[in-house]
Amino acid sequence: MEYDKILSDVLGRKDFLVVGKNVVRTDALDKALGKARYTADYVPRGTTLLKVYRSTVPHALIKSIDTSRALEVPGVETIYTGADVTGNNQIGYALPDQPFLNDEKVHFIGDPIALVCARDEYALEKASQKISVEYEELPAMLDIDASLSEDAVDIHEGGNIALTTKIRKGDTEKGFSEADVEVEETYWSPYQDHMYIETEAAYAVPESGKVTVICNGQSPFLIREKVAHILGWSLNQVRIIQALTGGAFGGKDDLGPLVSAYAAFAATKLGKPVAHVWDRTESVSYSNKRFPARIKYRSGVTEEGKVTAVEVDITLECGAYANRAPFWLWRQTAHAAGPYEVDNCSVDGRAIYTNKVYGGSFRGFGNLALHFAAENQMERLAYELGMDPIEFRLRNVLRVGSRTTCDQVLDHSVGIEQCLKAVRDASDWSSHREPVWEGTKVRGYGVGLAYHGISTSRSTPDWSAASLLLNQDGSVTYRTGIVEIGQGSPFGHVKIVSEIIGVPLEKIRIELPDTDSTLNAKPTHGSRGLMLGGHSRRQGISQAQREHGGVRRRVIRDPK
Amino acid sequence: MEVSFKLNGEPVTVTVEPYVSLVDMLRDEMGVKSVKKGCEQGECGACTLLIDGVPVTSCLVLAPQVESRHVTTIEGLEKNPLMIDLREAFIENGAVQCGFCTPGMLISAYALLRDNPHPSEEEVKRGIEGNICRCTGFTKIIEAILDAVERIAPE
Repeated sequence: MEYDKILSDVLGRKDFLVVGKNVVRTDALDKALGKARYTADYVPRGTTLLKVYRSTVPHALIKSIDTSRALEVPGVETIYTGADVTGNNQIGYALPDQPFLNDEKVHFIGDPIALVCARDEYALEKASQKISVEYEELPAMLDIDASLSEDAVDIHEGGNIALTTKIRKGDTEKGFSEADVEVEETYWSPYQDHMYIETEAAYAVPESGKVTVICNGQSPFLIREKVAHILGWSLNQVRIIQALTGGAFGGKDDLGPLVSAYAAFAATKLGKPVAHVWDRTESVSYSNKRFPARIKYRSGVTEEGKVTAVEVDITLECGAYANRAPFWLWRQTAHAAGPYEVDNCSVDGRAIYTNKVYGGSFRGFGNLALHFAAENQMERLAYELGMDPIEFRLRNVLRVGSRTTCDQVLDHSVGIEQCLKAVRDASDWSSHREPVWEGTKVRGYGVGLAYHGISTSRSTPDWSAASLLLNQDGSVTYRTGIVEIGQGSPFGHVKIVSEIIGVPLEKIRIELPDTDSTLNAKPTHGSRGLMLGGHSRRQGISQAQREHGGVRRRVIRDPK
Repeated sequence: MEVSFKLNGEPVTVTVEPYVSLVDMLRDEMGVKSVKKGCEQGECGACTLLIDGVPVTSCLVLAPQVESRHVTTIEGLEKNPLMIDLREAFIENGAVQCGFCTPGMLISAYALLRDNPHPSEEEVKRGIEGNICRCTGFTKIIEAILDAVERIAPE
């Protein structure tokens, strides 16, 4: 096709003009001048503020909620509970296990029960202290063993196991019988907070039959879907504008929909704008965390250094809600053998509810814990064999034609071996193997390998989208649903745009994602923002060139 | 109560409750949004500004405490030659990512170079130890500040 030809022309260039060049981000100046606006910066003086009232016990049935004394606090405008939710009181991501406002049961300290609206923070605080909830407390399941014990109390209907995963490849019994050395160990990885410097925030402005939310998330279109679902509205009644965002790291992928839904719910009920900005204590205490995990790992290896079998048992702690645990656990399960070809694999995963804060998206999406276990195993095996850790890994790494843990044949390029050898040579590895003591510290070189399936995966179609407006003066308006959270993906896109259509970078303006005027580019997570976003830019642009043949030449010649 | 002080050189008087913090007075009462709120407990440094030239976290200062003092935010240093060098060094060294820590970080870097025009790398790290950045890993920020030292024209 014609646009394929344009593409191959551009990509065939020996030297790019913009892509790969060290150019200055177009958003950097405003940020350095203090002029860049983040969600809370849009909130006008006097806007009604919202605070979530949360449970003070980890596991209990709610007998009654009394807000009457809180409503008498001067400055309090209203308080909403689950009884006020007329749309859908359910905001679970993967499973319908997470009420928007809990009115029957609470599942962790911090479970949302009520939304307090008031004129200032002081009234919010005072009112929150005067809400009284009568609980019938249940035994709290505070770790995975408690949740799995025989006398465990169910946190959700259907028990404390949210889901299980399972892979059987080859014959592990045979694999272990061929092994000369075995290593078996249990690895723990804990909760972790994202700690973005900008806390979660949303500012909702209602109008007749519509609500606009300015917020900080990672997927404006997921936020729109969740807000519309909670309100019981259609998608075209909800407009999400993503402001510049002060870090996200996965956390705002889950929190964006929640805080936006709280603000939008209160704003539409109240009929006036509502701002909902978390403070640091709320953010650290109640935002979702990296899912903790316990990984039991058994590996067998021959004297020659070939891993013959792995047996991996992953117990993931969801916390109070499953949230993204199914996808997180599947990712750990699918990567269980690490970046190595192992013919015999047995992998079992379980995601377990506990009465603690729940987990969610976080950079690496499960693979950090998994590789921590897998690489510790490889290190132990190398030590047991008396073999150099890099040499040992090279005998097992995935190559073209290898089959992964889930038996996928890697028929494209696989760069692991090349990468490892380059690191070995560039670091002068062999001469740094002896530990060097410096006082109480010891320095030495170690090696770790990891691989990660990027983007959304899980067998759903993955695509992206963007639009370019070519204006009469040669300037370009660029819109994408991929959001700016510090990583600069939208700017990466416009570098590709500039390279292909020949418009200088300073003539391209990136607009904020706005679900009323931006095409859905799906979420900004899993390293897909530039990877998929960038590809669609290329294809979209070449198509635009074909359809508006003359524009490109004109723009290049007269870029005023 | 009324608080009178100079904001970026201009005399101002604000009516504010005595328990309001300086950062809240600036953001909510005066619309100065460049001063960011990250933790409200003096840890993250996003709200750093200068009081009588000294960098402080404005979340730990009560509004009445700036009575008769000089408060300087990033806006007040926009045309300052040292800040211009720092700003350009930050931008060109990739030290600006999400940008949320940037105004506070620049204020701390400014105070550092104003008092110590030729800091060592260790002194640069000390100079910005009160400001947390979660995007860059600090390397590019440190490089930018050291680069700014090179840019400052000899007097």
